[in-house]
Amino acid sequence: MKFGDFGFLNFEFFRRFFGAGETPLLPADSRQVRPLTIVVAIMCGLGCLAALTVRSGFRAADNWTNDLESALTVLVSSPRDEQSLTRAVVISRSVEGIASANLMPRTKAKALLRTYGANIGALIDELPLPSLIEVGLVNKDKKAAGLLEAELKKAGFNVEIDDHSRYSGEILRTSMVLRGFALLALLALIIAAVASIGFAARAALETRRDAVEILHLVGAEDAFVAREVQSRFMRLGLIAGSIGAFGAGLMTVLGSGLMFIGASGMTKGADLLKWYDIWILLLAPIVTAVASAIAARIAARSTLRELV
Amino acid sequence: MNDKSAHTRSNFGKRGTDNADFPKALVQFENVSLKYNNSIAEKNRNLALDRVSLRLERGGFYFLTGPSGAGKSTLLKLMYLALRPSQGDIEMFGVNVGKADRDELPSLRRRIGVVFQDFRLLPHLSVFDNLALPFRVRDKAPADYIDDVEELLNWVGLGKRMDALPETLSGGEQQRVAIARAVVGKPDLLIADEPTGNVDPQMGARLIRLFVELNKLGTTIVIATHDHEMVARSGAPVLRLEHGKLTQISAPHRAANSRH
Repeated sequence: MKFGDFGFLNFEFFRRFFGAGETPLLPADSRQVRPLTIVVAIMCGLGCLAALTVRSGFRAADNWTNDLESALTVLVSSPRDEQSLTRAVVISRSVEGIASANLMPRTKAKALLRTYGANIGALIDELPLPSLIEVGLVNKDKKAAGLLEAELKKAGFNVEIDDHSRYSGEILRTSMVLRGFALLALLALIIAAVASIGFAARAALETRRDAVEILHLVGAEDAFVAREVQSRFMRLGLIAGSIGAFGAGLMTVLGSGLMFIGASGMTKGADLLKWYDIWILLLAPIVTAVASAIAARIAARSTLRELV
Repeated sequence: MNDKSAHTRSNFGKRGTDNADFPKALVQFENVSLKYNNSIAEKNRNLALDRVSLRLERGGFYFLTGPSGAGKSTLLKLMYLALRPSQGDIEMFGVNVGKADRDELPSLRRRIGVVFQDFRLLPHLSVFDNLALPFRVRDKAPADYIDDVEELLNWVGLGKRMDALPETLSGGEQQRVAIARAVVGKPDLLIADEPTGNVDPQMGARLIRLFVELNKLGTTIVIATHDHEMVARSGAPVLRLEHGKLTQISAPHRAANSRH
């Protein structure tokens, strides 16, 4: 093609990094580009899914621990008559740091027992259900637990306060492990993608060895040739990253829809991902492009030293 | 054509244009040997080049002759910095290129134009783009070179084929593109390996005239050729290689006589 004035496109940055308007000096080999694009797109898609998993894992763990840490459960052993329990609720509401206090309905208490595996059918109605008060805290103020226990005991109640720390600790530890695995998976995918790009960049230079030699002999610096390779793989990364991110987005929408239909409670997909998590998908092609460019440049610079 | 003789005597320690004894030296070889790795030459314990010493003056015009396999291409590769010597020293433009850092080579190569025997045009680039290569690798903006490239293409008779790919050109046309690419950057040293081998005599004579014109402008020319008539007609000094050794540095009539 013939060079000309690029008009408003004649920006040095675009010209140098994207080769705007100029035929690439080291063109891509289509036999190499297509499979590489697919591989990078799949890796990017998996990376996006891993990142979204990390994000939803963080949010789920936050939601769960938040729910647990901002509430207490009061087990009233005695007196347990309805009037006394109502008085206990009123006392609870008056304690500093307590936002709300409500007697747990029997149906909910039964449901809790069932959750713990009490598959005993109609026998559950015969069980002496505990009298529980659900207490909401202001700003997760755990000091309120001590105050509440003291006030209720002063009023003649025999109570036990459960601040959920046992469960929240377990959830926190479990969620940390899951987050760690997801982050490791993400890291492994990034390393694999970068290694693939680096390998492909080396292969590209090897297959275009003659062209590279000509470029060198007409006075090209290694940095110039590396930039040619870099800009090519940057474009590849951008395209593959966009395809991968789009695929991951599609899978997330489908997955969330299925979770919404088939699941309930804390695993409901709509709770774990928000619309603004799309930034992960928007950022993915850019990160892939930059990572591809850096990997290609490093590989190219080291390969070029072995050539003329 | 400048009739300057090449020299074999050594004065290598003294540098380029600042050297009082050799004020115009552009290229100087001092006991240069080259052995290819894993080559047939190595198996035979022969050197592709064996202790070659020569000196090319700035603005000179030289022919390099010798039978096939004598080491002409190797000598040219050393001159256009595609190889480094196994032994000895090569000084070009005042720089010892055997010891030069890799980063120093591009600036030296930009002062050298090369016409390869097999043209070595980039097959995916158009004629225009092939000619523009020396400018593009220097990060020149298209506006800075488009006129030069078009003018040269018209001069070599390919002005109407600038968008064509090399594979669609005849051998002679490809050779003209290769020559145009070598001279488009106005090099200080032009090295040509059989530059008229694939063109008709008329175009061959025209290309030689181009080299002569460039030489008049100060470009040092080195042409490897088997065309003894052209060498004889030129009156330029001749470097003759045989079995990797520089056997003769002479005026053309002596080189021609030596064959008989």
